[in-house]
Amino acid sequence: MKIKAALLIFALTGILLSPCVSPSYSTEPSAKEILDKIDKLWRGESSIGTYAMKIKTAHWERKLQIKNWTKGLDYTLIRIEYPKKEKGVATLKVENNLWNYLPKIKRVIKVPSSLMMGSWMGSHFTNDDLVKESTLADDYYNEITFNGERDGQGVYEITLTPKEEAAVVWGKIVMLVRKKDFIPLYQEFFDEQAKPVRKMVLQDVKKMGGRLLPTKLTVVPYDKPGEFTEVIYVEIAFDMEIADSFFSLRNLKQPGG
Amino acid sequence: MPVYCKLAWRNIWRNKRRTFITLFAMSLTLTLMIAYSGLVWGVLNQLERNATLLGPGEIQLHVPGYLADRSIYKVINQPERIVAQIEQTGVNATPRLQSFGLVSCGENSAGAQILGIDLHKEKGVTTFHQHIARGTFLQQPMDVVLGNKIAVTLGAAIGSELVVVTQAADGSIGNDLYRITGILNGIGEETDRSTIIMSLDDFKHLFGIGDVATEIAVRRINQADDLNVLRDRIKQTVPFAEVKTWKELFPAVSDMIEIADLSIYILFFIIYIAASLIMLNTMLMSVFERIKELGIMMAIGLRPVNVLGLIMLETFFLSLCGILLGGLCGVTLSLYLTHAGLDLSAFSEGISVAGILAEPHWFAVTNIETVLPPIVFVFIVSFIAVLYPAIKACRLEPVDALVFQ
Repeated sequence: MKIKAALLIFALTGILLSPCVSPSYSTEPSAKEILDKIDKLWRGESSIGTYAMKIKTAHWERKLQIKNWTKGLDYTLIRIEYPKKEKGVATLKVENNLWNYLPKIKRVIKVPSSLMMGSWMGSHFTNDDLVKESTLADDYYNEITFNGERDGQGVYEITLTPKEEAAVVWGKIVMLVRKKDFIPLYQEFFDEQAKPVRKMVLQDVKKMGGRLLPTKLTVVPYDKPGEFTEVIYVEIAFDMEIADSFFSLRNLKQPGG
Repeated sequence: MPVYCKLAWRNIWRNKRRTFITLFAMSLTLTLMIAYSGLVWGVLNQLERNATLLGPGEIQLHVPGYLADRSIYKVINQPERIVAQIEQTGVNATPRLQSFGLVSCGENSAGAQILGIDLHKEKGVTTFHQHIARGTFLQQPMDVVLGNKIAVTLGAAIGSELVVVTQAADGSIGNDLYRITGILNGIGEETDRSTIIMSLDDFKHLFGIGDVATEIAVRRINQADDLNVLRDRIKQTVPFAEVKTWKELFPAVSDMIEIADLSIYILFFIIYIAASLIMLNTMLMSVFERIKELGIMMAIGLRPVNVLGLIMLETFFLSLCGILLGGLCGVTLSLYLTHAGLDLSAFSEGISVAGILAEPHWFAVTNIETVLPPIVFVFIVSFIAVLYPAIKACRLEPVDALVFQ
């Protein structure tokens, strides 16, 4: 899956690898196979989830409650339900486009490409995290750079380096994937100078919406000590029927969702 | 000696046509050089003024560390009180707030630098309000003024609404609707491309902040005051702040202006050389023309050094006349350009030097620095011009001089 997709999924939808894929390989899977497994799981999936987001920066700390609808990799609708001041603020992603809706002034704003690396609603996620839709396997060369035990569990460490033609923002990504069920545990993102930029830690793996998945993930930027964004899934349901027309600008403005 | 003076003076006027041609060349050269220097210094001064008047001001105060990340949390508290203190040092000062946001007009949106200004005090420091291309400057709450390029990006028209979305100081989403009341002239690349201006109060409301400023901008009341001296005086008044002149804040811009200064000197040199060639040629010919005559003078007993002296005296009188005439014309032309200016707006909308606007209407300056160097230069060139033929003439044997072709 693609990076964005990965973030999107991990961070915002909470849809994660289903445990039923737990494979029993006779031989070790390749990095490509692991990424493909993850990727396949995501294609065509839909989800409706609710999660709590906690953002801490040097100057303030806020808690948001967010409801999130996704369908495949192309459609996402995110709506803030709490706090009251921002209730109804919503983001719609259709393919590569991103719009924000602001209920206070009742206006929809398209996020320009120049602001894709800007923060999403003040969090440590970027707008770009929401938009990216090609897959990690498509955009990056992959390689298993570690295969063994860490912290008492069997893991694969997969290192991803961008393909020459891929329009990606990271210079390198290192993922840690749990061997027994391919649940990602950790991702570290590097810039083009190979300097680590941020890490994402995925924790509290439990069954939710019929799947086993990490239900808490934390993004920590390295350049801002003490800051982080934490997402905890409150509930999530998979494979719901959602029409494509649900992800429309008209629906973006409707408080009911 | 008085005899030589008399002789020299008479010699000049013996051949009136030649003298007038020489005088014409000399005074034309001088006129053009004076007017040209005046104009060039005028444009450079304007460039320097625009570098400060259309943006930063001449001196800025920030909280230490603000310039590194332009964080809205690094603010000057109680800016009104500090502005009042600073103004006691003999300057105009104004509080400002600056941050970034997403602006949108209709279908279009762009990232923008948002500048909050004190409508009244800002006019003492910068002249944004005089550089409105369309519409008017800020007049009432919720008015915004846009840079001309961002206005094109947004497809913004006067009177249309502008959505501004930012992250407020408490982390929440600051958003509001504004009315586009004016679009600025082209005043500098960065401002044109990304700036929107609103009132200080609207800015505070949008970002949810209290009585603070991210910046205090300062301008001298008396342009003769030394900027560095004023900076140090302000530093003593407001010891906690980082006080910097615009040259320290924007070294690239001030370097560019200095390089422009330097290249102007080189250009001056070339223009001077070209102009002096006109003069040199005329003077040279006028001496060569008279070699026979000088031979006769030597034949009747003048020593070579006397001949040389005579030619130098003639040159002195001639250049004196030329300088008087040329100086008069030059200063008149320069003064005209100082007051009426040279309007090039039909040809260009103004050029940008290091992101600083040079307006298409050029005004010259006329002062000792623009007038004296050309005069001295013309004077020196005329002596150099006659030196070669004069030396050549007085070294000839009288007989050879008599038949000199």
